[in-house]
Amino acid sequence: MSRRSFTITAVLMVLVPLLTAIAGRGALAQDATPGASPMASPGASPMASPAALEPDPSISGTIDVGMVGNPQMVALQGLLPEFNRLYPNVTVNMTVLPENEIRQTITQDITNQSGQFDVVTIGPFEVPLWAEQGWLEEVGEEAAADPNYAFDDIFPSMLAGLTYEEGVYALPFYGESGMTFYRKDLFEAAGLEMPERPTWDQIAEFGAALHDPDNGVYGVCLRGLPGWGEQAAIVTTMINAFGGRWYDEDFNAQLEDEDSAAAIRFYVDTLRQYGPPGVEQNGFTETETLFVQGRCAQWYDATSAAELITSPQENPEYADQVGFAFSPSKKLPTGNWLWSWNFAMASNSDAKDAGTAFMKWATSRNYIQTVVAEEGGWGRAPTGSRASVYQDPSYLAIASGFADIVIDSINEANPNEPTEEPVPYTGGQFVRIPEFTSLGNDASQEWAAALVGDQSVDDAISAANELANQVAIDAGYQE
Amino acid sequence: MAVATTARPVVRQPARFAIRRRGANKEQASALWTVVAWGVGLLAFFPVLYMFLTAFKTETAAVSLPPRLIFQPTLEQFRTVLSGDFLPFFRNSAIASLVSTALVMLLAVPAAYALALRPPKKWKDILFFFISTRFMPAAGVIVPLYIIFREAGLLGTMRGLIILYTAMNLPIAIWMLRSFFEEVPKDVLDAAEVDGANVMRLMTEILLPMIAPGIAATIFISIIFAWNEFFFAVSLAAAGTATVPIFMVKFVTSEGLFWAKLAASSTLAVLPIVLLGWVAQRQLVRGLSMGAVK
Amino acid sequence: MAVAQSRVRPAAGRQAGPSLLHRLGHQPLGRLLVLPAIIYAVIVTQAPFILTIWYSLQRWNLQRPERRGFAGLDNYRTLLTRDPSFREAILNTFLFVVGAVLLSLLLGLFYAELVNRKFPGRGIVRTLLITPFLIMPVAAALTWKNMMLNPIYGVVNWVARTALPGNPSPNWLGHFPEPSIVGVLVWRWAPFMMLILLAGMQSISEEVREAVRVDGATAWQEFRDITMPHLSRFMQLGGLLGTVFIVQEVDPLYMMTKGGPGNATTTLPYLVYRKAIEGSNVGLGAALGVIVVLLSIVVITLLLRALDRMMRGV
Repeated sequence: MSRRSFTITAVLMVLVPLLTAIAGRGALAQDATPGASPMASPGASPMASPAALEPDPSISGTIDVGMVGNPQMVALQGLLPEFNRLYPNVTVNMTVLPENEIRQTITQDITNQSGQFDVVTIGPFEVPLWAEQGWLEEVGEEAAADPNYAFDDIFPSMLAGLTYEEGVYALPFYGESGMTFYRKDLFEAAGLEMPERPTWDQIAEFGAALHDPDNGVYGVCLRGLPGWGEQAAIVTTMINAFGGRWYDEDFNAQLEDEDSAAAIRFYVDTLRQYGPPGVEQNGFTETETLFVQGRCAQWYDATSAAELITSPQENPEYADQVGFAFSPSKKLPTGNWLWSWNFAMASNSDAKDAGTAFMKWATSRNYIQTVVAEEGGWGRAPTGSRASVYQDPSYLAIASGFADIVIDSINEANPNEPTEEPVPYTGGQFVRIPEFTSLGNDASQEWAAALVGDQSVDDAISAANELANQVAIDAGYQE
Repeated sequence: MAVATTARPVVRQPARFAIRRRGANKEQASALWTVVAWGVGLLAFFPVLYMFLTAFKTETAAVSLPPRLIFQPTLEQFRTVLSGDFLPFFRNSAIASLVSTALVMLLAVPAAYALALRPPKKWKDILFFFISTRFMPAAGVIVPLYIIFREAGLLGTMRGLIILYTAMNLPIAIWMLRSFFEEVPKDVLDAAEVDGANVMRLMTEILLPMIAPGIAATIFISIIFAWNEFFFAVSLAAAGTATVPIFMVKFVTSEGLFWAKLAASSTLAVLPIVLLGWVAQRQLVRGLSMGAVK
Repeated sequence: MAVAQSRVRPAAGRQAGPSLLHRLGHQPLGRLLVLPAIIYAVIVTQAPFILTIWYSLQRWNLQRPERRGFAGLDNYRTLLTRDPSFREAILNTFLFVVGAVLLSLLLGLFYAELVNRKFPGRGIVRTLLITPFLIMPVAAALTWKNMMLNPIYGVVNWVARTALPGNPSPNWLGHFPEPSIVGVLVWRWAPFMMLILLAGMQSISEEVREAVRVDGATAWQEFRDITMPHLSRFMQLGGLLGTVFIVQEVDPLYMMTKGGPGNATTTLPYLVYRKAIEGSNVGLGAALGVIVVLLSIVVITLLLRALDRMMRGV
């Protein structure tokens, strides 16, 4: 074959399917529901149509929104026309990026006060810290004053993480706590029964019984990917549950303390014995992939995974076999996991009315109904932030297996007093000091090194403890 | 080792300067050679091929074992990936790559000409200075850059990205072009001198056509690096002028089961450059072989 | 080394240079043409660099502006005396760069030698070999992590389990993080080296090759006596550019290992990322950046000097 004919062939080989794909796009566009959600199951009854809201042309402006690219936000992006129907004089520009990248972009923007964004999605980790710096606008007052917004419907425990000195500085879009998922078929076959409220010791026992690597089934799956929002989130809730803590009241590192060390050791040992290979590369997404591929007998992670893994489209083989339980306990009944993705407004925004309108629209009860109606299901609807969702029959129709556990977990979690012994910080699966992003990353790297056997668990624990002390000294918390 | 002191034939006609006389080893290789070469080529290409193939799988098929090379292809992933906007990303990347490359050439051609043919005394130091601007890790200057960009109103703009990519590719462009200029036989310059050609004419009518393959190679390298750049794009331009690498990582989401979508978005992201590289590879090799080392 | 030397045209050019330059020196514009590029590079790269030096002397965590203040050399002291990850990162950087540059050069040489002969489909094979260099680093890293090296679903392990006795299924990124990352870097950069070396090989004149063949040299002798000496300059170029580029490779680390497990794959540029971006510690990140620049200047100067000596024909 001559070079030229080869080149042409190669170009055609790649272009033809591409063009076909692009052509297929037109067909898709006519589909009323782009990215139709897996939840469009027969079970989803038609929703009551959203309360008819009148357009409000009095509010105008242009807002730049920085959003994490989670499915719920992507759905929101698709519903912008609905927002613009209500607020015809507000222009919304969106920047949607994956979590790491958007966090970096937003942090740069807010901390440098550069004013690129008016509205951002951030977690409860940042909200009180940034509110303290004066970087965020108080938004609770106006939301509470609006009868249509149903402020009281929001879980109080969610709001607790968004509060600084009585002010509420962000509105929760969707929220989550922690829970245990397991495979009912595997438990049944082994003659085991998962209690509704398992202990960590039971999780290890079940893991030992069900671990079957030759057949590609692993007893316990947990996030292992280093990062303060990945592995460190899991380990921190385990430290809480085991009765340990990161710091004592004088900011002396306590990771070598008996209970903390027991939690970390348990985490490493359990995964080394009953975890999947390469667990140190698995974040939430990778672990979820393993679970729906039938590789995990048990999995402790965010409650928001429940809707994904029970969806027949996301989990075609095992959706019916997913069992649910509370997050495992040890000394404390819960690890106090509580997270939400929230909309907050930069205090230097020059379009505050428009920004407030957008935030209220996105986090309202109406929005939830709109997205469910538009998408024909709950797949990408925000849950875990409003109690009314858990009374909605159409939601309960798909969520009956886990709704009670989720709502109880959220209500029971107390991230403002997360540990058995008193601590100088707040936060369930993180330590709310600005330096924790770095500390959580570095400490979890040490534990990852223990997971792969590069160092002993004890070395990893004392290395992390040393890091924690160093941070406390450098940051001026410790005398 | 006195094998060859063969003087290279002096090329009289500038237009035909481009390495006519050189060329690949003409010896026909053995069958074994052919098999080994094909084997190595396919092996090196395999990850890319697998990425392309995965883009046409369903998510479940993408993680199924044993890995499938033959399967029922689906365009589902491309539809999902393209259901958002791809064209703005593509347009931003194209503008950033092309404009920055044009600027690079505008700055680098005269500079390389001066360094090669009118060398200032400290030409080596100057060359080293250009290379040394590549020593700073991007993350190390990102906060200063961010603050400068904020003050200059360049955050989230195409201008900002173009300015950075130009600076990023300037050193290698100067380095490459300088060596091409040095390949120009001195008698050509002498002849031009006799003609009394001015710099502009000397450049456009004689020098540039002579080193055209080298210029083409430099342009390709510059476009490749600019198109593939990720860190500056995410940090400084994502809000407003997101480029193709940002489009690509958008499909690493919290949704789980993302391999096929990721492969589809990767395929779209790399396609333009891969096609360009495939079409232009002869120019790349030819261009680099012009001088490349001095 | 007579061969190499005879091929070095600039040497000859420079000897003839002064008179030529003298004659052309009447055009003052000529030399000034380097100025726009210098001015541009100074403004765009040195302004942030000077700010970086200034920031490196400050205690400054973006998230805690109230504590910002002049810190003297504290950041440098922290890195040099108290931060174990800094020492590991220096070692890793050295190993990664030396390993990846040398191996890419070797593999690139092998690639180039393969396609420098005529065989059916040579153009296609060259195309296949070049492709990894064209792939976006982020896309390449994610493909390698997920589709190639994943211990459960990865193709590499599936082949190993299927084809090798004992069903080995190593956890590449977990247990062999350094070789895995170096492998991916080499996969990406060997084509670049191939391009440069191929250019070098094709500039060997056919007469020379024929001359030694007439003398009855074997293929190996031809490679050793003609190709290699001729290529040494090209290899030096590849080594230099490879060093400059590969040191800065952060995307694969960010996407594949996050610099771990532990600090196993944290290089200096990635450590800058960890401190400055993930940790919002501008002061520490800046100090680290300055150290990297200084180290690079030292190392590259040494490299260039060695290169210069060799070019003068040792």
